[in-house]
Amino acid sequence: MNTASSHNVTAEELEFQTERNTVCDSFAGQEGHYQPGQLTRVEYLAVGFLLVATYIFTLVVQ
Amino acid sequence: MDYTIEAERGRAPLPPSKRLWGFWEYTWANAALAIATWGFLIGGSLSLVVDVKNGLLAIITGNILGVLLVGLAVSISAGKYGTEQYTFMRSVFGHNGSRLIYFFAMILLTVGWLVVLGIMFGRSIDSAISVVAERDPQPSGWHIYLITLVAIAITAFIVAKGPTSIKVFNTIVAPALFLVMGLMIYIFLKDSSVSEILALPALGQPFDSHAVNFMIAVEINIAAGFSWWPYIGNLSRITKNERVAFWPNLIGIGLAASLGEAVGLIGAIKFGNADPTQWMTEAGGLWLSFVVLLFVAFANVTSMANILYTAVVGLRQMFDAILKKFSWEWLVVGFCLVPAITLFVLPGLYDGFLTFLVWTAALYSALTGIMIVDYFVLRRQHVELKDLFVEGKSSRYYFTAGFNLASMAALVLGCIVFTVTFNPLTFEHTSYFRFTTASLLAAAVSAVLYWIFSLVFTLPRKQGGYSDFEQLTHHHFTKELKSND
Repeated sequence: MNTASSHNVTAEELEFQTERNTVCDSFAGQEGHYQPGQLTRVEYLAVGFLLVATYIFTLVVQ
Repeated sequence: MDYTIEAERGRAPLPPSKRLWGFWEYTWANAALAIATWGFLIGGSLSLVVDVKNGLLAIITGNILGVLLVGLAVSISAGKYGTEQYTFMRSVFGHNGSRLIYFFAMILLTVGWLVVLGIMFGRSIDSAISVVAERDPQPSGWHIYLITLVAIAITAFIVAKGPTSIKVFNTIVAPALFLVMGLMIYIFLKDSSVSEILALPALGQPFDSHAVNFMIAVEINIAAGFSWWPYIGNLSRITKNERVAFWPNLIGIGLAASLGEAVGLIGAIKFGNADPTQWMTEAGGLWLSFVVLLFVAFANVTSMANILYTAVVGLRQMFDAILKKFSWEWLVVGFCLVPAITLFVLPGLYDGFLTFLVWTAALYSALTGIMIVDYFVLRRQHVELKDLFVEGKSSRYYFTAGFNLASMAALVLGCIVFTVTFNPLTFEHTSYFRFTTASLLAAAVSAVLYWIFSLVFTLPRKQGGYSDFEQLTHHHFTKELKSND
């Protein structure tokens, strides 16, 4: 892989990059599936409602 | 080479198993960062625009809007992938684009705040001495510059020692600041009822229209909320998941910052001076004022250490190839030379800090709008992590010579929309400002422009890896349909 530090990489650096790739692969493997603690649609709706309600409130109060 | 240390330096994602903070730990960490002396400054500035009642409403609404939007733009992806916003931004602006953004979003902001808080340190010390010596404070004296330089030097010393020394300061200063604010509220209520305090008029009103003045106050608070953009990503990535990364922002940052601003607003109006280092000389008795001012002075150093540390860590992440030959200590010292010089180049930064704050909002509002569209609309919350750490053409996020032209153009146009709508220098504004604010409009315009530019320019050229995610989501969707059949 052509990384930023691919030239002059030490064995230690290579080991680190391998571990990083493993972590990245594990993240990629979970894509598309529900993950623990992922925000739900209800929570996104709550955020949207809070934003809109607060904005409308500022217009009403002024 | 320790993976966790390298991940903390931004060279790798932090997997959930190695993250420290649950919901309440992150809430406290947020509150400890937000309960800072700049809250007094922002509150004091509001006193020049609105009365206490409208100021408190503006503080609450502005912070909710700013903090929620920044949380959407930065915290959710950081909580999911364990990467802070500067690394994550490579998927939006390209590797070189994110370096450019880092320079403007982080360096200028940090330098500005270091100068402002350093001068606040100087003025607090001067006011504390004036209380005991029974003389008038000299907020513009030459000695303020000298004391400010001392504050920057102390900050550099603490940060050069590393994060442990900063944590020690945070552990002491954050709870103590809560106590100081509680003490201030007690002093406010000692000789006035709540209704009397709420009825206090503004120290000044820049425009005849009440609606415009109120919206300027809301704008200032949205700007304050947006000003967390450079910092919360680094914290959110240490949380265990998206939910923990997002909601505590509202409780920790939103409430704690609002408390500091409310105290700053009421104190300024009650004692007739927008500068907290001046009104605090009258807030308590002789020794109480002296102790509080001394404490506020050193609390500034803690805030300065927090932002300097974050900035230098980011600097090393962004420009690793150039800066890796310098030691941490020399990087800190080198960085601190910039605010030390800026202090003399822009001596009016403290008194005009509101202008500085609003300028930063022009940048952060556009950045926020663009990042929300990229992550939620264009990428459907899927980013190829490996490519965030890969430089050059082999990365999906190479775009055009390391720059995503669509996001860069939307960013510039968003900033222009902001300054046309509301001039940070003069506060002159358009007729629609009172309905849109400048921050929300700039965020919305840059978001829409970025979406259009991406559809017209980036996606047809198959840059940015967007088509991969279309295929991925299509693949999952068809798989789900088949399994349902």
